[in-house]
Amino acid sequence: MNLHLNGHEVESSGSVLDVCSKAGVAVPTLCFDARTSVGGHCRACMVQVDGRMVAACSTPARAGTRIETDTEELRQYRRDLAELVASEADAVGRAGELLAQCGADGTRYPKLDRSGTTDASHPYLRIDLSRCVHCRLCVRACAELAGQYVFAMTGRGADSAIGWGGSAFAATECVSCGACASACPSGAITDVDRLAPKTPDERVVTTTCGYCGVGCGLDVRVDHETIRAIDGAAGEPNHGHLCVKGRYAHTFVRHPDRLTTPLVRDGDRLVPASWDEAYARIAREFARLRGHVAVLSSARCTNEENYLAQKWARTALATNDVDCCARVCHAPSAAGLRGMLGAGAATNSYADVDRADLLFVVGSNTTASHPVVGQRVLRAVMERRARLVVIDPRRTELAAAADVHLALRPGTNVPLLQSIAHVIVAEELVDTDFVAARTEGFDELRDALRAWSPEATESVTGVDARLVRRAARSYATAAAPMQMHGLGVTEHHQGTETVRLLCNLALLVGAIGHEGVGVNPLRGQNNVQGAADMGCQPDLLTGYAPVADERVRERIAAVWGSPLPGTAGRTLPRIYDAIEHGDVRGLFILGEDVVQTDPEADRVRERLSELECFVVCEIFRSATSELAHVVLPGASFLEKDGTFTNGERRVRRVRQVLPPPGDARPDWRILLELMAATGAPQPFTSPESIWDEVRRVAPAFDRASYAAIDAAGLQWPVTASAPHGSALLHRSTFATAGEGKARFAIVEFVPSPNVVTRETPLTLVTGRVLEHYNSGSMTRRTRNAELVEADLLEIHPDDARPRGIVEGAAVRVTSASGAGHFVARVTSDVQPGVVFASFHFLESATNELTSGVVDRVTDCPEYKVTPVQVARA
Amino acid sequence: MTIALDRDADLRRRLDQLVTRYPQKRAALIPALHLVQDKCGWLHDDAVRFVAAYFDTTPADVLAVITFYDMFHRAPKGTYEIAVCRNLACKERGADAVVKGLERALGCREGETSADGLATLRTFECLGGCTEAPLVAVNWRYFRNVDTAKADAIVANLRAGKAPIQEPRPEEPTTPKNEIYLTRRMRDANGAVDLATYRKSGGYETMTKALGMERDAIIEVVKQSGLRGRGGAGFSTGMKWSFMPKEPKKPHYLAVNADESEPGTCKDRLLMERDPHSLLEGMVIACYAIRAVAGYIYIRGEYLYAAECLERAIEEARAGGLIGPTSSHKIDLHVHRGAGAYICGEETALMESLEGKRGHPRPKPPFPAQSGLWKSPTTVNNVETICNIPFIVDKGAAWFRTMGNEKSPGNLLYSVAGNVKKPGIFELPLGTTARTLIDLAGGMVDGFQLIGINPGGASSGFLPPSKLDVALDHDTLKAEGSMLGTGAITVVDQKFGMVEAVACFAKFFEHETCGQCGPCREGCAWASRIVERFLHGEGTTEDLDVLSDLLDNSVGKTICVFPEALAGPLRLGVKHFRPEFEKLVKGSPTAAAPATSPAANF
Repeated sequence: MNLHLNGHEVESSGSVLDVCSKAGVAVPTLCFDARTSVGGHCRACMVQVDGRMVAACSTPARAGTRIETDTEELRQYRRDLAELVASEADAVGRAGELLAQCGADGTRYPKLDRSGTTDASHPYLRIDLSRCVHCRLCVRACAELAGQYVFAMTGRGADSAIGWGGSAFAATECVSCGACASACPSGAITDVDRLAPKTPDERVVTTTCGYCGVGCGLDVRVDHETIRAIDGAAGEPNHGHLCVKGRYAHTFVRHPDRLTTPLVRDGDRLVPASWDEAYARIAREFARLRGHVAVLSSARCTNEENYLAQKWARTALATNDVDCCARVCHAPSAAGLRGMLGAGAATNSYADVDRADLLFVVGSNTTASHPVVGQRVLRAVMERRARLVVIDPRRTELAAAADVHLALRPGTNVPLLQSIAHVIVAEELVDTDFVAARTEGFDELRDALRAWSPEATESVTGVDARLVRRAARSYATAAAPMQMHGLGVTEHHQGTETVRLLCNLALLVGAIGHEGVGVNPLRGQNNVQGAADMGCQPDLLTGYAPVADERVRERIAAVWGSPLPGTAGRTLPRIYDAIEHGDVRGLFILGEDVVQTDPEADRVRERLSELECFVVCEIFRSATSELAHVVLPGASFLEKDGTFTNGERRVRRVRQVLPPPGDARPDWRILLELMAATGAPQPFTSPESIWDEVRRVAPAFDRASYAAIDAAGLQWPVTASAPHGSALLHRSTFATAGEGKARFAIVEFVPSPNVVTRETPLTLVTGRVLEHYNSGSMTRRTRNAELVEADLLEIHPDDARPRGIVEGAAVRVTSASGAGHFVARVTSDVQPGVVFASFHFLESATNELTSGVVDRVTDCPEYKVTPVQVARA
Repeated sequence: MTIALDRDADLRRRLDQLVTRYPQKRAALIPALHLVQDKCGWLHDDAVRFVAAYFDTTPADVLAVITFYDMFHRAPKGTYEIAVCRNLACKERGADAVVKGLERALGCREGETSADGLATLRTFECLGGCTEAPLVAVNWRYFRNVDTAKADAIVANLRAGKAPIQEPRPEEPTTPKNEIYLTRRMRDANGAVDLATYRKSGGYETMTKALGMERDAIIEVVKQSGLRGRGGAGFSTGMKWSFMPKEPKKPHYLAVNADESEPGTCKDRLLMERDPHSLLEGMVIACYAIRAVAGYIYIRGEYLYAAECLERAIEEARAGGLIGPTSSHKIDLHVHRGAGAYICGEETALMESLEGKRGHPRPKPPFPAQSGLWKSPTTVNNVETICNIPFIVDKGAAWFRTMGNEKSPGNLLYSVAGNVKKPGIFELPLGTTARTLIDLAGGMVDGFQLIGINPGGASSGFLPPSKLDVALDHDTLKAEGSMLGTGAITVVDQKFGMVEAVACFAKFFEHETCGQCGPCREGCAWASRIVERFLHGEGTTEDLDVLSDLLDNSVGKTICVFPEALAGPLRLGVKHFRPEFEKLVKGSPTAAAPATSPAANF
């Protein structure tokens, strides 16, 4: 199956262009980008196949043919075309270079004086259509990478031009992902980072994004200590694509607000101190309080740092009171999945979004919170016509694109999912072979489901029974139905039980254990999976080894050379309780602003103020660090080495792009120094040496050496039997005890104590927006703040009208816990009786409002249901 | 305004009705834009937003479609839109004077709206009335043989509040003494053929006969007849039909190409206005043979009257149970109006446009018979081609071959336009010579000498008078480097000049290239600029070489054959008429004076 390329025999596969690029033969292209579909219209890639001129990109390579790419006829053609294109477009960049190389000298077709539209209304994107070569890559990148439709070619012939349907670009629905700028070859669409020419000292560092749990690969262009621009790295999970945070929100790293020196408390003030002073104070105090010190590790930090944090807690500080922010997001997913299937993590991969024919998205505003995965879903729906079922109280971007949107009342996940299971069983849509072979307890489930018909639950969930039946049938009859869920599942009174119900659905229809299907928690933070994997949990050690298991403790103690406390510690909400009761008197927090992000902010502030020694390691001062006795300046994800584990269990390298500012240090180094100062010196010299110990402690990482994960990372378990990682879990058995079967969960509906009252008649749901990340400490210190300037309160017109609230009005929200301030957005995207707010701005005080109600199993706070009242401010 | 559109129940009802014609809603976009533009006068931002919302898409997407088509307006216009055809035949017969007359009568320039808001005046590329030149359309109602006096009368009538009414074609299609079949019914009826008349003369009987035949037997008859497509390319119709899958896995479709936009050509309009049922009957037979569930007539938007004639005929046929859900065969037929874009006559662009998109030709493969409309197997046939079908099925392949010649059998609707005494359409056997046709058209108007002909529409190459006795059929003309095209002859006279004629077509192609392929988008524009230089006394002999290189480097290099269309008239124009160009070379005593400002001409 070979052909001749410029006289050499090569393998014939794919398009003629594929054959050429595989053989390293350069063919000029304008409208080609491997990430998008083939355009085929710039006609720059013409080559000769058996003498005939064809476009290499859109012509399949055929065995036995002769391809010529550099004949006199082609050179002449290319010169002519380049000159024609150059006459209309003042292209720079890749296209500009190409046109010049092909010999466009303007002798026959001189440059036309064609002024193009320019636009600089957007904080990041810059448009100058006088450079446009009509390749339409912006149109295809926007549609096919982002699932958006901002650009379109307008006009006809030589008068055609890229358009965006309005005057100011900033007024479009653009999601600012920069896919257009990354694809544009001519400089017509670019961004503030890409405008500057390359510098001689510039280099590219490939690392992993530190925002959400998608864990995109980044190619960071850096010149000494200046980040020039960030591109998406090739391969999984993002294939060169990024979002507005990953691509653009990097200027925080050298923001003047950065902490550059340790601070120690002196009365009311935090004053600069040396590292030695800071360490001495911590060592002295924590020694005094030994046994009463808790550690809160960070899902924003690396695996190596999380490993050290829990090892420090369990050795030098002799406590299992170690937790991390997984507690406040996906602890219920980990617990639910572990209990049901034996592994507390995603059962498959983001890549399966491209294989699924039905996507079942529950409680996740994916395009805002996990943009690159969200857009992958959108793309599957819009470009590939995959079906989409969305369960969410709000009409999110995905809900608007869904075939079925079940807009349930907040807090009614359990009855809704039970009624879906009811339909699957009642209408005999169960995969009986799968259920027989791989599950237990079906008969009990069938009996338990009898009472849960959609008609019976309609009055509770508020969802039309017919829609529920449609959703159930879609899920059960799809060839490859894939689930994804977010915090709308977990941050509830019955969060863990809801995760079990999602597992029930997948088990009923056999949608687990093969490609394109599964149950996937969309992990919130960049390394929340890793923080849990590393053992930053009060009851589980590194690799999910139970604290209570003595054999396990002994095995790990042998590696650590130190005994471990044998009883499970406290979860974060219980640590607050323990502070109140005087059982916890010292606290170390690694990179988390709990005052802004934990519920009942007022209470959190009170508890932290009661601590005798409170240490925070941070990159910016925060509402939390203001209460500390010692503040240590840490490093951002761009300033250190290590690994992150994303929501699909992919362990990827984090590489230092630039040093931390001033006297700030990488957190792993700070932790090592703290361990030494508190009597537990460690032999490690680098993050890699720390990781190598992790691999000895946790079998799932056995073969995941830095060398092995070097390229695009590997998905755990990475073991001798799966040296290339495991994209898919539970292929033939579950990791449960005994025969490896999964037992169906029997769940009762226990409504949340958070119920609306006369004084607080509306239900507040909290969440995130695309442009900002959690507490906003990073994104608010970038131009993303120009895109979204405040937390908005979404309120339905029917609720706004009687309260005299109009779009843009300042509103005051009150709950039993406190009060918050927002700008109103009047929209029917939320249902009557429900309001929605983000919590990115401390000023709005969203978490002053949320309650102390937690998940019955894991103590994860119920952020998604808070009874409130809203009034004009 | 959005509120008004949102609350317009009648509009919504009509939109909802429109979308039922297509398997995918999006296909109704262009007809919907016509509807909304008719309501609003123009497509302002609110109208765009309304349409975008109705079709679940973005305003940018809708604007992309709107701005591709000449008939959609993004700026306010007058109560009436007056379009003057500016292509070859109309220009030769005084279109420029008509424009000036209308400018005077309206008190505004071309491209502007009269101060009283009565009318917007514009020029338009070929309106498909070449044998009635100069042609003026008022809200797409055609006025024939317009001179300045008639232009004044048109404006006066509009001022007096008289709505424009399409002028009927008073004369019969000219038919010499040979066997005719395509135009026989309309001649016998002495007017448009309605259903009753059509049936009285045996109409729809062939359909009944065909429905009783094996599908493949019909394809075989058509193949045997040697019928070649009448849209210009001349591909074997039977062969094209045989490419359709025999075992449908998806619904099949027939699309009839009624986007007659090739300058010089206006014969399909005659068939649709005067004998629409023959097209419908042919379509049902074709649909049956190729196993299509429905047929769409993609008619150029400017042909409003013809579209109405077809709509009426379809209603008659549907009411009579001859087509549609109540018929035995269930095959339904629909009219789909385009919106002003020549490229939509290219079969893949036609399908894109019919799907509600910009008319960008698709790369081939896949070919339409594999993946056409809505990715389903589709056959695209010209109007006249389909009108031949009932006769071939009725009378047989042998009968068909008694007309025309071996490789090009049958009759063709030839036409003659330009400064001849009796421009018109002639049904004659294939292979008739240009001399015969020009004689039938009464010869040249007194004072005009023939210096060349365009034998088959703008994309065919110009021929000198020495070629008047060449047989006008597919293969003979191909051998001459030209092509039969649509068999529409336009004569060029000495007063107009060949360079002007070439420039006219170059400008046409510049205006009509879709713009997706680099060599075509830029090449058409540069070709037009270069030819234009000669008219302004700025051309050089090197320019002719550059032009030749430009054509070499665009022909065969693009997704569709548009550059071939451009190259047709330009190559032969320069080859046969080089002295005409040289006379105009910069510095030559016979060169034109450099261009003056348009204001000076006003």
